[in-house]
Amino acid sequence: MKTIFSLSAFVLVAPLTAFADSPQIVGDAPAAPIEASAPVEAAPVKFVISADAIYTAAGEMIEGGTVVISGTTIAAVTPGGESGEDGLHVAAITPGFVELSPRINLADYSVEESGEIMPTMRATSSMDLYDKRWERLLNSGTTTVLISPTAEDVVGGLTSVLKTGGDPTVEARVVLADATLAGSFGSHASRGNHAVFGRPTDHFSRRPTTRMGTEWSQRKAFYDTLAAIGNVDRQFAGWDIMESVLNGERPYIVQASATQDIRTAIYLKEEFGIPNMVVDAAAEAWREPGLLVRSGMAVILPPFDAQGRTAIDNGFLAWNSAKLLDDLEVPFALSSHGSASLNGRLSMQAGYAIRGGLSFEDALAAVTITPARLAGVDSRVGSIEVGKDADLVLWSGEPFAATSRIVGVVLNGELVTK
Amino acid sequence: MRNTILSLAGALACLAPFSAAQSEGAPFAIKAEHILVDGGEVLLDGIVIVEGGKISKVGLAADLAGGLPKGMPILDHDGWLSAGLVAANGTMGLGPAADDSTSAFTENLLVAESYDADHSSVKEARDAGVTSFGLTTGTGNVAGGLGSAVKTVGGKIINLRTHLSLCIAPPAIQSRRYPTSYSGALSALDERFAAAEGVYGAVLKGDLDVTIAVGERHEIDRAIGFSKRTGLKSILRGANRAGEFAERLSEAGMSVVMTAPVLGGVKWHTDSIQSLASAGVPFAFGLADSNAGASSLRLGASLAVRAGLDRASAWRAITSTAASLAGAGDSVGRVAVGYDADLALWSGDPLSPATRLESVYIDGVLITEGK
Repeated sequence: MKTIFSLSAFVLVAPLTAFADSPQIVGDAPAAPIEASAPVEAAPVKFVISADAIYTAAGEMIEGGTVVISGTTIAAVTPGGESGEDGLHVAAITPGFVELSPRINLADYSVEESGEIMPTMRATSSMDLYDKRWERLLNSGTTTVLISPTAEDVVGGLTSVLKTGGDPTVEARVVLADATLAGSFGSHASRGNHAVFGRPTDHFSRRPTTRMGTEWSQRKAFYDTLAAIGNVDRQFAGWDIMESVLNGERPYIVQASATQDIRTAIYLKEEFGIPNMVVDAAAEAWREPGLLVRSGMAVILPPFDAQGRTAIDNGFLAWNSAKLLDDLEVPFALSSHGSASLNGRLSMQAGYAIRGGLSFEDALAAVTITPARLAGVDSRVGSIEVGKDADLVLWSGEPFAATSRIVGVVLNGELVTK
Repeated sequence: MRNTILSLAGALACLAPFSAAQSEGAPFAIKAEHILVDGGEVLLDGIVIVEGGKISKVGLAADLAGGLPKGMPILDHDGWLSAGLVAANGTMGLGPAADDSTSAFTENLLVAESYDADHSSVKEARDAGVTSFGLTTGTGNVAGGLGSAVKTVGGKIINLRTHLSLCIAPPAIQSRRYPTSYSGALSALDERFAAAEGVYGAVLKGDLDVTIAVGERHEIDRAIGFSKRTGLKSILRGANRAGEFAERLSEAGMSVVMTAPVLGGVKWHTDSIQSLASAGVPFAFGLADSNAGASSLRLGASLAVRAGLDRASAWRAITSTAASLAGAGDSVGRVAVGYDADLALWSGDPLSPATRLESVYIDGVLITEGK
């Protein structure tokens, strides 16, 4: 007994002391030593999430599958497979939501109101990444947003696409800088301005003071841009940004809610041949189906409201508005306008669109891949595909159902717990 | 007044009024039980010799007292002697003229032109032991003007042009005047620094410091981004939360002027101070954005120590670091040879709240007694 005891003590202790002095490879180790001197990148952390249903927004739903995350991106999406002991299992997975109209800005300080044509202003220069609303967006499943100046100027400035989490710096969160140009139709650009009778009292003594004044200012800005192309004497601050809109390099996203404002936006697009134009907060887009289809304009719908009216110019938004646009094959995205209420969340908006007759798949696309495409970031976000950013929403049940809960959000491969 | 006058020349010299001797600029010496030289360095039974308004010698009384010229008056102070306090910034003596509201860009205005050294706010600072400060504009303009380093008596200016005073925050960004937005203010500043003309060029060349007034965290973040982009080693002003950005500030070579902690104040303020100290970011306390008055400097330094900051950093925040951030680090803020004889005589350790200020000298002249 004594011998056996001391032997087992040796067996237990010896390898540990040896290990402490110099690391040893045990088990089926390769014969050749591992070259530690070569600078090898640390293998990205992998983790696996399995689900009863994976809605990829890039084809058929996968029933009973796994998503493999490696580092910050999606490494594999496969039917079947086990998550293993360390992995997660949830009822359903959808891509992280992409929102083009989160309205998460610093209100008055987000727009340069000293003028109306301000293409050089950057929304990223006027925002607060420490605002609690970012966490709320992320926890409610929105992983990517387009940040815009408010619609108080005729041409408000440059937008950027950002992730909703990570280090609170623009550098850490930016997906696409200067993604689109923001403009405005309707009453917002003209409100606060006043006519000059006698002497101007302040910088709000200016055009536009009406809808038609706004439309005039839009057209003048583009005529000025045409004049500036190739003529140094006519160039103004940001004319080249305006030009990038005219030649289709950069989408022009304009706010227009009421029918007449949407019509005006369409006429502007057609008059100047602006290739890529999106109308935001377009509650009444469904009222001009013919013009809308003819123009090739895409639409961002404002959040649904029980009263059927939007906060912007009182536009009428019916439950079936999304369904009507879908029938017309007009590309559209849903939005929440950053509302703090449960109803305002983007996940709820998709549910309301489904209630209004839209199919599940089309509702999913309207909060994921379609907005990603409209903002020009669909190569990175908006669907569950190999190589794309691992931005996922994990559900307790069927996505967008009123009884389902978001149980987790993955952003850039990291699980953000709710 | 517990100070007593000793004279090596005997009884006759004792009859001459002490202050009269100083006002003529005649050399004199002060012996003190404790001399707080700089930071945490204290001389026990030390002596300071003042000649022509400057400190000519500092050392142990045992070493220096024997070699003093005959007839030199010696003040024997049975308490602490230190440099006069320095507020890293302040708008004392400006009254309502701290900003010229005609434009958001008044970068060429010299704030010293508005400085009234007889204003009650300057006297209040003096009575709290503040002998010099970084005179600066308010925060009403994006580019407010050029600041100076000044004394709290006689309108004496140490350095006429020390810094360009910027603000990228709501006091300067207002709805009825250009710029109305952060993006507008930033693009305007980017444009001016890119053109590099006048004071903007001087700042880029390093001839002038630049202060940027900010408050909220997103504003601090924006100011750091702006400073990195333009390559400026800016001094953040009023940025009490700056400690949360300590590493980035350190990388960018920036420094911070904040308001001093107040009794019953928030914990993040003192935490922020300690983070700056740990990261080696120079910081000092200022009065320009404080409602608490000049007495807040010394009490604030005490409160910072109570919250865990080391004594040396706390003391420098109201003397030598404050002086260098105010653009006068070569002449005030320390008890050192060649520095101005701006001295404060205390009943005890100045970082103890129970300690009284007994006298203040500016340029070797007794200014105030028994306050």
